[in-house]
Amino acid sequence: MTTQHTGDGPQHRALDEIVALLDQAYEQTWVTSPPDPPRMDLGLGIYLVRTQACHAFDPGRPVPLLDRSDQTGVPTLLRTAERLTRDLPPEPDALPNVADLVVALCDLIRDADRVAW
Amino acid sequence: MTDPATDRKNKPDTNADTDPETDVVLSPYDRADIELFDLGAFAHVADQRSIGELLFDVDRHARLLLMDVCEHDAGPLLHAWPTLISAAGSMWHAMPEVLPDPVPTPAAELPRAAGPASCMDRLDVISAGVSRRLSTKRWPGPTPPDRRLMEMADTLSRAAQVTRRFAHHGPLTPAGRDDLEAARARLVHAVYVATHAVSVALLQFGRTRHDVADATPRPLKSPNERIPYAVAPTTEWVRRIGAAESAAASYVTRRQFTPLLNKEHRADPASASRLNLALARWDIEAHRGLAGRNWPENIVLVIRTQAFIVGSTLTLLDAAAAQAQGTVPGRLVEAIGRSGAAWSDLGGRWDDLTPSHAHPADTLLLAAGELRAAARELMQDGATRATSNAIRTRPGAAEGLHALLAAMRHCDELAHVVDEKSATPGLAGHARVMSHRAQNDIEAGRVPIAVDSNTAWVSPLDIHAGRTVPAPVPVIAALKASSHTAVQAATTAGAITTATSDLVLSTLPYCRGSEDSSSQSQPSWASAARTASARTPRSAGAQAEGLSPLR
Repeated sequence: MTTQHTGDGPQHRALDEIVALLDQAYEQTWVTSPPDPPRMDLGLGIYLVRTQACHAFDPGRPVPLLDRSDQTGVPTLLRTAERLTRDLPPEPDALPNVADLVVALCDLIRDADRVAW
Repeated sequence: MTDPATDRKNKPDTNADTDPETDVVLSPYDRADIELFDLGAFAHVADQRSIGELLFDVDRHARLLLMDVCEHDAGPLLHAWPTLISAAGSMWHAMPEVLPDPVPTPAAELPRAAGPASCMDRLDVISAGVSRRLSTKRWPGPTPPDRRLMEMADTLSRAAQVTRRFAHHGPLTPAGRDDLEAARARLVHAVYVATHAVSVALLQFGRTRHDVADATPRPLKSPNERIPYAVAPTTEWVRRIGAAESAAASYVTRRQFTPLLNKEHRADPASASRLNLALARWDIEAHRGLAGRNWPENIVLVIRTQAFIVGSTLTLLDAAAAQAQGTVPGRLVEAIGRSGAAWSDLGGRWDDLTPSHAHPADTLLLAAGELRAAARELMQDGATRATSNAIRTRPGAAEGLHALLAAMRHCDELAHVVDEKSATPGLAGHARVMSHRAQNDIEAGRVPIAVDSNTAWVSPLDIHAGRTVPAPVPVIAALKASSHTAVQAATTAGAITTATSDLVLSTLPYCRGSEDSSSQSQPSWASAARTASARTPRSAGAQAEGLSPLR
């Protein structure tokens, strides 16, 4: 999966980081884990949210994948991504669809808590 | 609770004319700058509520506490009460004195207002006594303080901080004096109601002890005729709290609470979209609060606030219907009303399963407080609810109705999340409360599974010892049924709102203009932030599976 740069400025850097975290979470659930339907379902969910985040904020400039080599679990990655959204303004005139992204991340966190790791 | 002003007072007194770090002699302007950048003196920037709104919130919480209080709260309430009085005293002393105009010279010879000061001083003395005795008496023993009183104390401390920072300490206009008197009355009234709630909890505790002992060979001594059920070990506490209640009551009754509040200063909302933004923030924080590991501490606030949103929608719809008969469909009002009832029922059930010392997340508390303040700005007038005409003519009323209807359209999402939580294993509550709840649900036919009504679902030993026990089967079954009802009611209300809201808003004269302008220049943030087309599925993983319907 290729991470796409979502723009400049601190808010967009946070979004880049969120997309990178979702990338890593997706890889852990879908690519690196043994075939396990609940994890694969969660991975597809993460992929959908990641795509939603990219399409909502993406001006279309591909950049190299952000380096996040630390081995943290999927629930922690999702919680970190949600924490990063707290720095984003909820008003749509600043950044559109932040509320949707937050709610989708919260749904993923609850799903991840139900999956055995 | 740490009060920054108190901290500053406790520090060793340094020379006020020198910089505390460099010992350089400062000019008056430099001294002002030091105060300006004093971190301890900064107000809470995330909380945008005014002092009046903070006091109103405390008063409202006091009333809710009085409605919800029970015998098991007696100990935690007693432990939290001195903190509340300390915060109330801090707020009282932060408020400016009423000075005559012109101010006589020297100003130090001004007579202080003996009556009002004596009320709070008396409460301070009683609170100090209660605080001392709590550390020495066997009952109630060490127990965490009640979260509701602690939240009220936090809010009062914040109000005191803002007052110290921004209040005008010069001569006031007649309107300013009235507003100050209203603020004092609101503060003492909140303390009075909260103190009465502590009293009620103590007497309920005593009554239960008395009734239980009556069924044994060793009944307790007959209760005092003047103070019924003030039996050991609550006798002393009932007397002390009763004295505090009398002190606060005398101030409230002597000063004519309602007329004072009706003179409260009222400004039009600074922004017509305040409720919009508050709802958008609430939506995000509520989801965050339920996704985190501390969701059990947040869930009651989320449910209660959802019920508040439903109630506010009904109020604004009622105001709209009063202007143009027939424009608000009856089925819309009925569906929203059923949703509100379902949320309220669910809130009471989760309240039973939440420990009294649970503390919701600060961001969630702030979002809920801002939402209440924004709604109150439209609906409240002095001591009472504003008239329908007043609500309609307020700036932001149309935008508020837009935002609330948008929130109603997708409130089933939170209902689904709350519904998932009812399947959590290990839910527990106070033994006596669980026993009462199980018995009541079985008798009322609210338990959807076959259960034996003669079974003792909670051990009498656990009840007697006041233990926390796992929620019995009928309680869990009724909780799940109540959650499903809330989901169904919210879904129905959302569907009917979607079908009728455009019609309602287009036929209301005061909404028509704002609808045109708001759709072009300032769409509802709550709805724009969460558009129906971009609606998130109930579970992203489940959507990938293709099994679960969209919300």
